[in-house]
Amino acid sequence: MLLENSQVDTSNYLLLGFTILTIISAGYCIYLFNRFSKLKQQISKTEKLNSIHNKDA
Amino acid sequence: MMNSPVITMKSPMYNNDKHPTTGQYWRTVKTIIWKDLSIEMRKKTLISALFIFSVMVTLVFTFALDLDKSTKDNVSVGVLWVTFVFSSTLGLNQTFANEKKHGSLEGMLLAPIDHTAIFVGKFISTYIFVIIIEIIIIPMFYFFYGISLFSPLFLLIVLLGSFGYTLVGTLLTSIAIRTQVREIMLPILLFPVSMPIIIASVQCSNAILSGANWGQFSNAFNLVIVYDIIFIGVAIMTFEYLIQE
Amino acid sequence: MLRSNPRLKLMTVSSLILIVLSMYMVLIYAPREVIMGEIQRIFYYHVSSGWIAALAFLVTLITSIMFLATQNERHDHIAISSAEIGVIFTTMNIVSGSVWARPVWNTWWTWDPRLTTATIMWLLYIAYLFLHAGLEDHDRRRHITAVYGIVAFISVPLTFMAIRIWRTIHPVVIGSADPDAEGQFDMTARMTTTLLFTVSTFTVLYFTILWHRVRIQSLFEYMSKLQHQMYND
Repeated sequence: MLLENSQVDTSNYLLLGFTILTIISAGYCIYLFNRFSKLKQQISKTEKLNSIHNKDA
Repeated sequence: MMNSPVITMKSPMYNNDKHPTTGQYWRTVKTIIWKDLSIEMRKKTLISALFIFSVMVTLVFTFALDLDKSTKDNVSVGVLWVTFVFSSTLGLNQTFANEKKHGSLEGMLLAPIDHTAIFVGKFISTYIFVIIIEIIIIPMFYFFYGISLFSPLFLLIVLLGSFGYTLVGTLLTSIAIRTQVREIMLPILLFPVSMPIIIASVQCSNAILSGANWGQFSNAFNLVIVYDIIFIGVAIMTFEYLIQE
Repeated sequence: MLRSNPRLKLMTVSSLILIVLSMYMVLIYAPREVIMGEIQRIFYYHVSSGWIAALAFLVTLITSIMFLATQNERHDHIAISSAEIGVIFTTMNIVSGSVWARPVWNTWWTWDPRLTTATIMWLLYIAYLFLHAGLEDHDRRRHITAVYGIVAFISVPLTFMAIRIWRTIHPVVIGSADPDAEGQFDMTARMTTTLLFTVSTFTVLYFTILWHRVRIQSLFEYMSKLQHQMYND
């Protein structure tokens, strides 16, 4: 093993790892949130159109 | 059009009973296999195209890897399996494309037969094509690479490995033909699923050809067998859901 | 359907609190490993995300089977949502392992059986998501993705067993390890507590995200139905 009996400071790698994990998880949460709010908009728009459509008929 | 499949299906050997007997089941399977084989015997396009293709894959690898004597011994089995995998994938794409083109899949689905019989029939006919291709490729490898491949245990692992690959391939081809980009979708779906059996087969083949004893490759060999058995079960149980409209 | 759900809110808040607590556990409560040093701390998130990925794919398997048996659309929504979350957790698992391997194995990547099978699993479920996106007819899509969700699961036990079947350099912390394994260490009581805590945190997190994701999926299907209605009236 590279680190056998040596006191190499590996905290930089830990920081790198944590940063990447944060980016992945935060990115996914933002993606979900965006998808949710877009859907919400689309649904209220479609529902409005539908009700107008039904009134005409 | 006198002997079109629809007329055959309505002949007295098929009644409209929902639960056909074992004899009827295997007659259906045989009819489907025979249909595929006789189409191929008349046109001869698939086998000849696959033959040319596998020769070319072999040549490409020979030049790409710049094979000298020592590397040849190490990589030739891997190259052999890659050639099998590529040509089987092309073959799989083709067998279902024919069914789709003439709407004959719908015809078969309308016939009063057990749907798994269609799967078994398509699988066996594809497997026969794959075996024919392997019968061509193995001597070719002996010719180009000079390694002796004619050990019974090695041929067994080739049969078992391509059995699993073709089985999963047939199942996933019936998925891939439903998508817009089926020729690309098949390898995307199939390669990761079949990777365990390919890796295990390559390990086994390498061990057998280098004269290792049973203990050194029993794990990989068992994995191939377990994989085959699992996917026989999965295929029979799920095929029904894949083809219903 | 669009109204916010108080129970879901509670779960979201509690999983956020749990994550902060787990950070404390991992960074301060857990002792520093003697040989590997600080980087060993990523192990808690590595193992947790691996376990949750396996759990997520198991949920996909079960809901896929249940969908085929009952034809209830709800199961299909859970299956696709769980697979997507599983892919995210597998990505986190692979990345954290890779960052750990750089100082310990002296390489970012090696084709060890465990790493290979994990990659296969990752690719399989990405193919599943591709398949889901590539099929347009909704009714047909549900059956087909359910079957693929069942087929794909073969990679999960294989990944789990890989370090126990083959000779590997990947450490096995729980159970007996291969003598070739590099980066092996014995867990102290505090380490075990921390690991259990992060695994539970990730489990709560998984169910929270799953709930959110299933909601989005149902909204999506609802919208497709609305649009379908509109164009067909």
